[in-house]
Amino acid sequence: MSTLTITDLLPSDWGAFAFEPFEPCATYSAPMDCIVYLREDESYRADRIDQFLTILWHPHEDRVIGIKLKGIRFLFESLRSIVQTVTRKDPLDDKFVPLVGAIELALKMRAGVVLTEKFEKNRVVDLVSLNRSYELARGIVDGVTFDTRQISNMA
Amino acid sequence: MRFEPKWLASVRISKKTSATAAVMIHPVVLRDRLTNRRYAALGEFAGLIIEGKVLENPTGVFKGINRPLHSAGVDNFVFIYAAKPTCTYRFSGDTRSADVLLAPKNSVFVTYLSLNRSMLNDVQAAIQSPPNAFRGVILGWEWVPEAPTSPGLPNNHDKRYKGRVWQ
Repeated sequence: MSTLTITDLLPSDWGAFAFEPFEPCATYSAPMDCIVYLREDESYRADRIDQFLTILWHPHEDRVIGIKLKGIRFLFESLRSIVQTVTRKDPLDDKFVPLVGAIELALKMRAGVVLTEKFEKNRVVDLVSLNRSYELARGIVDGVTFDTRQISNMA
Repeated sequence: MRFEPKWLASVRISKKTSATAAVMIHPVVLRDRLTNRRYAALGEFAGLIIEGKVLENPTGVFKGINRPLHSAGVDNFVFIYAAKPTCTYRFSGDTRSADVLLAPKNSVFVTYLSLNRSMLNDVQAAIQSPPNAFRGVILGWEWVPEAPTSPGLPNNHDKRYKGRVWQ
């Protein structure tokens, strides 16, 4: 039994809360250093694929409703150093970047991690299953952009 | 945002005794859930963490997130509290209590807490809280698949986390 309301949770200096509908969006959480993209506002089931990717499933149906990308500082700093070396341009100057690009980068970076991280060496990696999961993630974020200003203060 | 006691939750800190401590939601996390209209997440926080007291009755406690590429010094101080509530919550209005919903199938509810001193100091300073008002910071929470052979525990917890504190 829950008796609290959203109004009860609001900071005192926020004023009234407008109860507007949820809209799909990709947001960066600095405390957990991850981007969450959700298409539906549900109590999702977070299925960890690897240290970069988590697939978010509908609570009662077998369909994907979002993804979580972790280790964002590492991913974007890697992207930044690569792009700056080649083009002398900071990729974070572009305010909105396709989220699918971050997934591609995670998959590429992961290949290197498998070779270098001890705990992964002992793991039998099912590459077919892994690629299928990343394919699912690509599909769910097709056309979704991410506002890099959310992480611009991490540099 | 200034410190408000209503954001505190109680967490069990000993397996042998019922000793508890106060933990506080990270203000950035609360702001994110409110501004992005994450009504399911807000319902889980209100119904499960604050009022449901899932942190006082964990089915398992783990320490350290296996994310070796990022801030190991921070991730090592993250505690993961698992619980198995039978329901979950979601808000459907701003002045109504959250709706009670069936818990996600074959899942356990996990809450991520940081006891990192540096993070604690940053949050205390940011919200100008009284000294010792809380001992940890809630970084996030979610439902994750339950281990088929270890009821009440997250699936693949040996790969997700660095170690188990108690079960």
